[in-house]
Amino acid sequence: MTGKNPLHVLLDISDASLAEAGTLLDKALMDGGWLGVAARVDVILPSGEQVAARQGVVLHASKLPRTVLVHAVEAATAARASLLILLAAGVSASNEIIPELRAALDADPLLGTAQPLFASPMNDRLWTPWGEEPEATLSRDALPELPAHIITAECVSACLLIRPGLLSDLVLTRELLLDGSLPGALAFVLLGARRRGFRNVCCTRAVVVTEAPRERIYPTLSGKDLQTLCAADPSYERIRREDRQMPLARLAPLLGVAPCATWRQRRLLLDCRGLSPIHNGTSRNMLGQLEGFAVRGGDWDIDIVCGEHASAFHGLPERFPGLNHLTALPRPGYTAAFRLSQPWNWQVFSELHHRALVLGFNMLDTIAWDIGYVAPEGLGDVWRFAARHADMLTFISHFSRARFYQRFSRPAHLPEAVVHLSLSAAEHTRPDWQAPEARHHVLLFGNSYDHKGIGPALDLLRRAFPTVSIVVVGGTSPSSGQVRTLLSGEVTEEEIHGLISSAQAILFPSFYEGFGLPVVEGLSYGRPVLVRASPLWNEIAAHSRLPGNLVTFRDDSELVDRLGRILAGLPVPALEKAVALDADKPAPSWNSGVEQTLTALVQALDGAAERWLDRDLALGGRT
Amino acid sequence: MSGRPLRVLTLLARHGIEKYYDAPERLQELYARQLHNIDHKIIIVDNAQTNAWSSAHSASTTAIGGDNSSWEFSAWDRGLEHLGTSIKNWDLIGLVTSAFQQSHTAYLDRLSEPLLRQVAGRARALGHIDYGGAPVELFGVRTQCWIRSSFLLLPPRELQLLGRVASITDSSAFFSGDAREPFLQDAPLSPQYRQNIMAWLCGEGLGQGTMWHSRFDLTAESLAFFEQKARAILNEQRLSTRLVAQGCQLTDVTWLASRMVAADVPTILPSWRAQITSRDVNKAPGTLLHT
Repeated sequence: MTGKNPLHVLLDISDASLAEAGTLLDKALMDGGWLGVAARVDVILPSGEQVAARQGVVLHASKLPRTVLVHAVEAATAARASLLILLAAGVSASNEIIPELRAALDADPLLGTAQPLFASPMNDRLWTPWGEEPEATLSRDALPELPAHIITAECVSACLLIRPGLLSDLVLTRELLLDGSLPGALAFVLLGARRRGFRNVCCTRAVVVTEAPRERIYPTLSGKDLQTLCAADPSYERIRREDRQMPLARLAPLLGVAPCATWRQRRLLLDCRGLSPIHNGTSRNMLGQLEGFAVRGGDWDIDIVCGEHASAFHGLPERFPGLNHLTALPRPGYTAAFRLSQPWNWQVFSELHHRALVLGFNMLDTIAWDIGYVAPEGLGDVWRFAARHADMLTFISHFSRARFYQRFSRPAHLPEAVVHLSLSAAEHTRPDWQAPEARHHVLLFGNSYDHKGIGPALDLLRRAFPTVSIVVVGGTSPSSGQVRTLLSGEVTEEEIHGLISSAQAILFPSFYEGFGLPVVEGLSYGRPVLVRASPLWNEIAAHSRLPGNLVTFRDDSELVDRLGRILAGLPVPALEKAVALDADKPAPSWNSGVEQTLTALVQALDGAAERWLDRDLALGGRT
Repeated sequence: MSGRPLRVLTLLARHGIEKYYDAPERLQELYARQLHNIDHKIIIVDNAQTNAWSSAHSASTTAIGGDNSSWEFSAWDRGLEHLGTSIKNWDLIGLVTSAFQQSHTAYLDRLSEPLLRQVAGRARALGHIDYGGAPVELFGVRTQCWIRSSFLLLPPRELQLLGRVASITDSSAFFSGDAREPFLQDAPLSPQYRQNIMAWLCGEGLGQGTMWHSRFDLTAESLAFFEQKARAILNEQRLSTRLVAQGCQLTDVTWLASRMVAADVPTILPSWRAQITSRDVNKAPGTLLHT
């Protein structure tokens, strides 16, 4: 136990001015409380400086600092004492930190040196031994999330406690020590300790508050010192470089913005790079979510990152002036990153992982992986990774959630939520299109993908209803007398609203959807909507009170029968509405959805640091 | 700092209601009088109840039981355990005992919302800094001051860093069991500290004109109480040294209030000595700067 050993202190104030040395010494001894606590205090004074003797203090006025170091090490070795080295004049460490440093050394017999962190009194921010920033940057909010002891490469700092006996049989090559600076000499001592297996530990529960700049706290070694060290150990630079690249070094800045500190806003990065410069269901979904974030995100400081073209096309800065708009990925430093759509590749994962502590994705569906031919290579692994390593997932329907977990494993810890897109009629309709005078066409929704089923459905309608006017949004066949075809994504929002609200009926023949926003829009205008039977549509009807009727069909004959009855004004069986809603509960809206998402993100903060490290390891070099 | 009200949660440690029965009301009055813009709630931790006990007093006050193992210090730990991660939802946590209005409490009159805002979010503990006439040592740490534990305020992060508030939970390393010489010879506290504790609990105080309100004679009968009270003093001291060790600066209410009156609050806090020797009232002697 180091606590049972005496303590020796070596205080180096050789870089103080002659005028201030005496005052500085008294202040260090009194405020630090070293007299009485330390069995021996060696003080290195500025060269030639004479100050009055102090009881219990050995003053060294005309010796080279590195020579005093050798003497101090020898004295501590002889007394089996811990040796505390305080390097800089302006760094006033006080003796309260000693139990923490000693406890760190007691925790592991192969820890040879212990050092505290250093904080700026201006803003409480901390310097990190592995960083190189000119300012203290690590938020104090990160500290409770960091381990109490962090093992690092040897690192010369302004305050260093050396284990008793560590140096007893260390060959202090005087030629080497005497050839370098004091920090260089110390670095050499530490290098020798490390090569024998004794590591340095950084104690995050011991913090010295100091105005000193970085170069005083973590002295930069001279080129000559580095040469000496690298000659003694060719791995010296590599080990230090690995230290700078350790996961904790990347995690720490994120921890500083993570806690639910009420005095400071949490930072959220919304990844909208999946937004395309076209009007389609995905765009309407993402714009709707952004409306919710603009209204409900008050406790968060929200940045949106979106492609420049898409941002301009949808006028995001003008639509959402309360959110911060970016067209390139920002620097790390977010509490959470949430992607409004699925990740499509490792790069997205890596980019968001390195910028935020908590990582969430909105899983729209698993269609791309299921149909295969539109999926990027490796998509299954990316989503498997999401299931295992995302901090939270949201799904736009129970149907989508079930498909996802059927295909990819579900870890027990994962915070997740089904966040329905808006099922509020008011959010899908425009007053000027509410009551069109004429209803004169059947509207067919889809696109060229096979699972949308639009080609066969169009053929069927042509045959069964040769006199009915048909408008196809997302069709591929050219327009003919009966059929007007509009390419998906090339129709304006106004045109879509007009076509929906004026349709006699809407047909959505898709085999596979995650939500089916066009269906909801049609129902919102009170239009009857025909869909291929699927549990998804029961879910949509059950969670909504939309005015239109949702009518399912199982096959072609049922489709023809039910559409025919609708066109003739005859009753058809429709799915029951609102059975999953409490009587007094409104249907999901964009705002309520965002509230659910933010709640899940906050839940995901618990244990996020540990998961971040796991994810970092699992990501490895993937980009 | 936003314009929204500060959120302060007080963990009020008490032992039954025989003494200081109206402490919760007194505390609420203090907040209503001086800190009325603050969103303040109280969790009473009653060491006379069992751990499983709880009771809702009012919309802003609830009570839970504590185990009394380390008096107020274990009570606060019980309160912190009860809070869990929700501690982060508060700007400041108050650690208060039901005796908070005993013995020189003028500093409480200086509490104000701007004062509390100087501490919220910072690495600072706000309270009344007491000091001894000479340095003492405890567990090899030399110190001369402590922040009074009957009323202090800290950001929740500082309590998270601290871990447990009660750090001395076992008396066996300190006490002999003999009222004539109550401390073990090799107990980890200095002779000066032993003298101070004896003088405070059973004698004429620390020579600063203040005496403890519940002094008693140390006898075989009162020995157990002496040991418990002494351990509370040691825990109080350790609380301060541990806060300092983690870089949390002790901030004296009276000093900070006097700097605010003078519209001269320094960005960087001076040492505890500089603080308490430059209070506008109850100033500590200047000799403290040189001892």
